[in-house]
Parts: sequence; structure tokens; C-alpha cells
Amino acid sequence: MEKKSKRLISLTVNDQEYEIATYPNRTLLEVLREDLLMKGAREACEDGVCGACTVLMDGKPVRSCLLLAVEAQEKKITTIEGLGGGGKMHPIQQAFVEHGAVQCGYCTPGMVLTAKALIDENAKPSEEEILTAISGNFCRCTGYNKIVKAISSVNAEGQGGK
Amino acid sequence: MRLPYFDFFEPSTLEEVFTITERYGEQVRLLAGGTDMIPLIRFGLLQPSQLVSLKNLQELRGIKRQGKALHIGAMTTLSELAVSPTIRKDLPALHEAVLAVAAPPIRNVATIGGNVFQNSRCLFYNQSPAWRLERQPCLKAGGKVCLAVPGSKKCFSVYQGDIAPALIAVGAKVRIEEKNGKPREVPVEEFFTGKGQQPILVRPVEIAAQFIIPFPQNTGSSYKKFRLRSAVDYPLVGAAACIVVKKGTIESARLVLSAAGPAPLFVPLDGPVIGLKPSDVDLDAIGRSIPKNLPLVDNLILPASYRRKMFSVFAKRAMKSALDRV
Repeated sequence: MEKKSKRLISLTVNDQEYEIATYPNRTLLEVLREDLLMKGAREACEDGVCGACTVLMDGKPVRSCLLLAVEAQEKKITTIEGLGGGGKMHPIQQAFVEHGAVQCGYCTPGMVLTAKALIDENAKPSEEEILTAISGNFCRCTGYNKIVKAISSVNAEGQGGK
Repeated sequence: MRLPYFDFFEPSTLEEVFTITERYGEQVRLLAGGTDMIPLIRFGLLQPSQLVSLKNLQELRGIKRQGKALHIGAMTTLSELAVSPTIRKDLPALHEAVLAVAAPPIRNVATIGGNVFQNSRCLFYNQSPAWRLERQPCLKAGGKVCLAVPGSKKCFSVYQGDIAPALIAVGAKVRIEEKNGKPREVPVEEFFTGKGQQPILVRPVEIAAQFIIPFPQNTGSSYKKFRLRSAVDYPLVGAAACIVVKKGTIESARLVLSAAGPAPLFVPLDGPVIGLKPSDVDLDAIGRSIPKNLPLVDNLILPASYRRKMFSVFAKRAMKSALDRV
């Protein structure tokens, strides 16, 4: 193997630009957690199965454990740290709290972000559309009922996902 | 678990891709969406010294109708295919196959080229280094014996792509580009070797650029998938059917299976179907035309004996739905 070389990459995370010198074999998840210290995206299966590492790329949910950080340049990345702000929760986060849609919490950032992408695109998703949207996010506490109720309530309460 | 180091290239033309692949030869891997390849690299099952990202190659993207064919760039994401009104309306087998892959967040990144040219899988191969350290390497991992069928010198890994069977059923071809060569069009099925160790044949100096699908007329098609969970899982059974009708009778019928061996399997049907009216087809005869000797062993999450039975069930379902759509 030739000499290992770092490269300077530029990432836009939660509307802020970061320049990071990193090796090309690092995933977006690693850079978010270790370089930018955003620990909201979780490391779990590392195989693309579970959805705990979900972030939004240009508004769409993706697996940050399957994406090289270099490949995420020139895209808008949103992590759970980018929701809410000013001491207030995002309406979807509020709905999760009110419906008790959080048990161990490991899947929650991914669930909330996936729900945000869904509601941004479709303000009144049906239960079936919600189930399809979150089909790639596993809750091993099996708290799906409350999660689905929380997501539909955001629609019912007319708060939208912005 | 960390990915091992590799050099990384981001060419923006095919010429640049060929320059890199020529220089580094067998050590290079082309990176499409990465949703299948990154786990393989992480598990040490692929060890590329160089990765070449294809994301900047605009010519490999998009869905276009050209004359009597639909051209789909190999780097088009599965989510892009899923929302194509043309594919939904005219190629329902492809539409259903796309929606059967993994889950929406994976389809947002995964590409049609990456899906078709995915490696075959096996419970004794797709495992972490720690798991594999406890055993000798299997045939597919460069060892001397198969672990799924101890003592066997044959690899029983299974091709578990959803999209290739649908493409083969509707008669799709791949447009291959190579350096200084004329692009050529090859039927999708011809890329499969039928060997578990090396299931797909694409030379390092070639690139699969486009999928070319003849625009269907008087055609009904469908894809049905069997898996344990309704999302994420690879198929344990996949069945794609395509029926073409001329003057009220069936002119051609194609049934292609996935997860039935190391390559998508074309099942000959001519006897019970050709020349009949779609409503006269005996679906049980379709089920009986599945070969009895599929090379299935206990190397996926459900046993071979059960999967064997499910092939005729899902073949019948796919055929019924294709017949209903003619």
C-alpha cells in the first residue's frame, strides 16, 4: 500500500460548513460523531440494517454508516442536533415525548429524522405511508404503535414538519 | 468497526475511470451507492486498494425514453426509479422489484447498477472477521472447502438481487463501455457465470453504463418477493414474470427466479402457456415447471426445504399478477 493520505473535505451539517482533514475510508457517521462531536446519530449494526445512524441528506433519510464522508460533500446534511433550537423541541420531538414514543431511545434520532423527511414531503401521511417510511428504522423495544401515533399526531395537530 | 484504508478517486469522465482502472488493475473497485459494498469492505470480504467513486459521472444517471426503449443510467438511484411514472405504468415488474429492495433510506442512495451487480450471499460468508476467525475460510473467501455443505468443493452462495430477475424477464440489456472500444449491448443474464465464487463477470476495464429496456407493448409483468421481514431483507425467493400477448393469445412468457442459485434462473415454460388465452393458463402447471433440483442448501435464514416449496408459490403469484395486467 502506498502512503496513506488525508484530504480536506467540506461538509454542510445543520446549515453550518465544516472543513475537516480526514482519511477517505472514514464514514459520515464516524466524522459526525468523532470530529464534529455530534453524537445524535448512533452506531449500532454497522451493516445498514437498523437505521440508528440515520441522517438526512438533501432532506432525505440515508444511512450514515454506509456513506463515506467524502461522498457527502456538496450535500446538505441534517442531524438530530439540527432540529428544534432556542430551548424548544421540534414539533416531531414534542410529539414523541407526548406520546411516550421513546423507550430505550437508541432508535429515536433516526425515527424522528425519518419522520421529518416524510412530513416535509407529505403533510398528512396515512398510517400505511408512515409504516413504509419507517420500515428501515428498527425499534428493538418494539414501540412502533406509539411511534406511529406520535408521527400521525404531528399531522393531526397541524404543526407541519418545518 | 473501521473500514481499512483505500485510496479514493472521484473521476468525472469515463476516460478518467479507465485510466485509473488500467493503472491499478484488479485492486480497484468501482463505488456506486455503496450500500452493498461498504459492509463487504467493513467485513474484510472485499479489500480494494483503490475505490473509484462514480458519483460525478452525469452520463451514468437518469431515465430517458429513446425510440422504442427505456434507457436507465447505472447510477440512477432506486428512489429515482421508484417515482418514475413510466416505470410504474409500463414496467410494473421493475417497479415492484425496486420497491422490494431494502428500505427507503437505502434506496435513496443505492443504485440500479450496484443492485444488479451485487455479489452472491451465504450465511457462512457474509459474516464479521471475528466470526470467520473461528473457522477456516470458506470457498468463496479463498478457502478450500464449503462450510455450508462440509466437504463440498462447490460454492453454494446465492444471488439475492431483486432487480436483475425483473430486468431479465422484460428482456433488458446492459450497455457496456470500455476504453477505446465501441460500446456494446449485452443481455443482463449473460453477466452471470453460474458459479458461486465469482458470480458476475465484468472485466476491470469495462463499465456497465446503461440498462436498455425494450418498451413493452401488450405486456403484463410482475415481481413477487418472499422474505422474513417486510423491509430490509434480501429475497429468500424472488419471482419475476412477463407475458406478451398477440391477437388475444400468449406469444411469450418468461419466468425468472432470484435466490434460486448463484445466478438469476430462467425457467422454461413454453409447454403450458404459449398460444393460450391469458385467462386459460393453468397456474398449478406454472408451479410444477420449477426445476426440482435447484441447488439450494441450508445457508440462508430459512431452510432449503422450505424455500424450495415457496418458489412455486411465488412463481404462481407473479405469473397470476402478470396475466391480470396484460
